[in-house]
Amino acid sequence: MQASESKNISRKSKRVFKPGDVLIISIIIALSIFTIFSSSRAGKETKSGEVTIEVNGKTVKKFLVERGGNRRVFSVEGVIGVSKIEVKGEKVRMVESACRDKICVRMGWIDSPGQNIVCLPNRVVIRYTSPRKTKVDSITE
Amino acid sequence: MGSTRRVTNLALLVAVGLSLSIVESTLPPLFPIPGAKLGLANIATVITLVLFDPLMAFEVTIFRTILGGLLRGSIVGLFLSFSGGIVSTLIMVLILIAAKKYVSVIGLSIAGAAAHNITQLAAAFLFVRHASLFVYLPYMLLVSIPTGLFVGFCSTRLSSSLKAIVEEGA
Repeated sequence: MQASESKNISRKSKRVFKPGDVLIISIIIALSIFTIFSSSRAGKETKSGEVTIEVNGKTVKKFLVERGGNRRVFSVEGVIGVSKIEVKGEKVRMVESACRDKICVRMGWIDSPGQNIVCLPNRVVIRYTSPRKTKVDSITE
Repeated sequence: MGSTRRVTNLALLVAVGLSLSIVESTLPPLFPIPGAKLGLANIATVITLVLFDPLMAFEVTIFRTILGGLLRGSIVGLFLSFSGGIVSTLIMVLILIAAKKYVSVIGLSIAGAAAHNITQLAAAFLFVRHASLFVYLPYMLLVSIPTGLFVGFCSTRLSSSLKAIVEEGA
């Protein structure tokens, strides 16, 4: 009795997948590919950018970065503590954060428009965008 | 099922979900994406859905997310996991009603994981109010496949073992 019962269970668990599962997985993959293409249309040829730092939805700092720029480190007061941000050339990263899981720190460097570092616990967002257009459209020689 | 037995089962399942979410919170984050986690606590909801009824699955989800949020002491976290849990349970119940024959427990939990991640991101948007948050969406969706697989596999094994006990008592 006991043996037949356990056999029954093991036979049942062998056929775990059903055709609908494949459909669900492919819908999710299709959805994620679609969202990747629709969200990452930012150009990547520029070697400079504009960095906006926001705390709780408000812009607290905005500056331009470019390749070869000086390294600097500064702190931003977030909702739960201080976030330390490092700029080196055209790259930006979160060095230290008061948050618990340090996901923002682990993101590492960002260096192209469209990339962001988001620290949810501290509500700090570092946005990397294309530099703002100057008054002059272009210069010819 | 007698009401005493029902309350007891509900309490046990909520306890399972709560302990799983606490066990999970001690593990280091598996993916470098905020909010992306294994979702072990969803095992409690999935096995309730398999062994009992949709109503009970909702009850388990509501109790485990509220109690879990209070235990962890984060109101924002409570809101995120509550909304994610409710929507993912709703999606799983709908799939179960619409296509029970064609979808396994694993497919169910993958759909639940994806629904949870999308809802959580939308709920987080209410707090952060920043469109750049949705950059995470595709990765969150992709992550929900392996996590849903794992949770679904655990739930399959667990519910096939628990089935005998549940049926014996009924």
